[in-house]
Amino acid sequence: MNVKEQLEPLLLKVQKPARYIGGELHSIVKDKNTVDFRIALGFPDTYEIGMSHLGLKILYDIINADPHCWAERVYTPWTDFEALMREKGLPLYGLESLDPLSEFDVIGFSLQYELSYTNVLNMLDLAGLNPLAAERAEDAPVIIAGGPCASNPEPLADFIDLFQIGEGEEVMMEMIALYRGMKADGSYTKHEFLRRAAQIPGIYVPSLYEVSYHDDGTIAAVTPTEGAPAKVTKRIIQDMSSVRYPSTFIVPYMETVHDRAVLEVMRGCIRGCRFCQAGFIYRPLRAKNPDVLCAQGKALCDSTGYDELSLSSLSTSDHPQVEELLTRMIDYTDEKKIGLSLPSLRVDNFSEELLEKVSRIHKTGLTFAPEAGNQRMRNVINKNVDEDEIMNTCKIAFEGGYTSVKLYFMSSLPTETDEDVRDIGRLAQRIVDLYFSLEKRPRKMVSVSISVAVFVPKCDTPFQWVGQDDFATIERKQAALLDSIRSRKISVAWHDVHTSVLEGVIARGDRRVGRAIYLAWKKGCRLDSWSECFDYDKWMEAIREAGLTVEFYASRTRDLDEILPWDHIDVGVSKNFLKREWEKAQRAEVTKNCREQCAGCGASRLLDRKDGVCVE
Amino acid sequence: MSEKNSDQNRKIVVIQGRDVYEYRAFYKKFERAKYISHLDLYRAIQRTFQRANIPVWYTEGYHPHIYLTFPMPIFLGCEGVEESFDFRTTVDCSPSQLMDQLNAAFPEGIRITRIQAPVHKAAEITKADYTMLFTADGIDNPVLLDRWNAFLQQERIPAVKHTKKGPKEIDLKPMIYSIHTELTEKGLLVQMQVCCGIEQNLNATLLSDAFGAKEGLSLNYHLIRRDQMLLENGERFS
Repeated sequence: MNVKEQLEPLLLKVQKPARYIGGELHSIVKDKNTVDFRIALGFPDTYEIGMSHLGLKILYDIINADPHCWAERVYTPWTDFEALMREKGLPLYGLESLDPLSEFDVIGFSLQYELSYTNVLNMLDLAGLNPLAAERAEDAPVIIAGGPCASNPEPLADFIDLFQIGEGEEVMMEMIALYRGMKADGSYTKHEFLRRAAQIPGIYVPSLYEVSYHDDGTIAAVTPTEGAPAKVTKRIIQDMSSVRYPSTFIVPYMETVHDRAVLEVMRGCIRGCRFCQAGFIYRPLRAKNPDVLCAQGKALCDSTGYDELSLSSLSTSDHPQVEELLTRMIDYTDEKKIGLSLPSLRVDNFSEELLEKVSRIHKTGLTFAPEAGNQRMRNVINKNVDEDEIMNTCKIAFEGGYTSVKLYFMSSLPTETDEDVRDIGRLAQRIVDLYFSLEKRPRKMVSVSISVAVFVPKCDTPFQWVGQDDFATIERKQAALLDSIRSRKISVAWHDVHTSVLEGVIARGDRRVGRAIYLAWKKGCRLDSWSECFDYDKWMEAIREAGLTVEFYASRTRDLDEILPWDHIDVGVSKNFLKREWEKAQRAEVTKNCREQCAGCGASRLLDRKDGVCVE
Repeated sequence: MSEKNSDQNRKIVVIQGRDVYEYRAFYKKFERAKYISHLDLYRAIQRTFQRANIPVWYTEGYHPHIYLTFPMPIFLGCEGVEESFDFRTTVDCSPSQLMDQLNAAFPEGIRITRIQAPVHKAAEITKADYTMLFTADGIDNPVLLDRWNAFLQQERIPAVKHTKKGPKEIDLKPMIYSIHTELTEKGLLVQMQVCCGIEQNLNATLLSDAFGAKEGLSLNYHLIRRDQMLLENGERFS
């Protein structure tokens, strides 16, 4: 019985069987006898989440464009299917071939958030592979990982053979070329491959680095061995307009989280919000030109039949030619009755014309992210919007027919007091008051939803040294916010405290955190970002049994001179810049955006063109 | 909306002073496409129209969408060989050309077999033929057959149906018009004619799942297929 026949009776016993069977339009099936390299691109979460992720679509397209290579997809099975797989001895398989993952050359994981790490271990185990790299067989696939969380790869150092740091388009193909070459000339052993891969810029092989610790638990030294570089510098694509972009996406049978055409308009961000890891690790800013974008958007919609096109980047309204881009794009999308969505608009440059363009297509709710409730806090985090801009944007939106506004905030930010948190509620109230003061407002009830995330300090940001609020403080601040809300027109949603604390531990963890991840997985933790699966108590046991504390990793403020676990990974921005930014944050001083004035972050070093600045 | 000179290829309806051409497409749903739920199938077909670049008619509401209606939704896991949906175009098109364009754009497991003018109304459907093939864990097929037959011979066959208003107990027995089970090498092959319509509807697996639940068996379905939908007089829906 082949996997497909073995699968069929099982699929009708689980929820959403379309997750597990493949066969979607534009999925790529090759004859395995015609390829000499097979990779499974894994996303350590469910199909619906993984299929929404752009990075893996890009890599899938690039790798499969090479006739010698076959890239497939694999996602985390939900608990019901996992139980059946274990009961029936069905190994985890690639969705294109339905072949067991253990037959692949390489299995890769995209690391998007810390709470997906146990899924990596679980998927390896379901594939019949030992999650611990040191104990995996010589002939087991090479396990690789990349994505934003790879900027601190250390917590996964025990499990992953090789990390790709930064943008994957080029480094992936260079790694594949090395692998295929060594297989072809017979020089391949896993160790020799890893040793040579470590010489490729952007590749980090954790097993080639030795870490020693001081008595107080901080790092004494990270020492490369076997010729591995002392610092691994992330890779970037120099010219976004000429890099290959998928001309089609796999169109899933079932609905996924982002079930639409996605056009990446730009990488990097000019803003420098100090809490935002993406804002630093994707620097420098590189935009695609409107001609390329229009052609790519049209190709995607025509080939997929999607009726929604999303213009994606960290801050799409900062695209240097955003007005031209929208005007041209709308001509096409209107004709084809395609909805255009801009998921990341900023409050301060949200012009009336821009709103008009977006609202020609969609008029549902508007979402903004003021992030903090008062000006001092917004200065601390360098979110350069003021209250007048927030109010003005809401006024434009209300007068343009919107009645519901969603606002994103963070609490437990550095230097934040309980009064600062109450200001979130007060700001929401002023928006409600504004609505009722407008004569041109729609004749409907207003709704202001505020969503409050718990701040988690991340590596490669100016807050990388900061101690996260402890559990009790976070809860106290949440109570203060709730107490500050007096109107039923305001609804509040909270991010869970438990997961935020755990995220805090892992995000700035060192290699020793890997032991806790392993023990947590052994205790049955997986799908930790799903509230129905998350088990905080098991995680706390695991952390204890690994001899670690939440205090050391999450709530401890680091000394500025301390060697940080990710110091040997260079994402472009310099540590001195981050220190300057942290000092300015403590004085509530803002830094101008890259377009107004270069702050000398250091990311321009990554550009081939050496004129010193990244942005026009 | 009014009707005028239609023929067997398409019906012409006039919507807001414009001629719109209405077609009924019969299709097969098989292999991996059987795991699509009705809502997802609806979306998949809409996208196929977009890709095929057909001058399809959009509804004229606040959020225009491609007009598509299905007579009786087919449930997840069920294959179909004589399923249908209705759609409209703004231009008079040849059914065979529409069929070619759509079939070139469909994903695996959905294929149109003919396109014609709608003859019957969906509300006229009252029954359907199904074929099922199943086994059960830990029990030989002949024993399974005996228990299945005993189950079917009950006076009443109670089952719990999950409706929008919550679970409800119903008797399946009067909803079965005919049923024939054959023992094959691969399992129990069941052919049955059951209620299928807006008033009363019996999903084939509701019956077998009720059997599994009563007997404490975990059934393995190897085939679930709707073969055709019929009117009260036995005529095939077309």
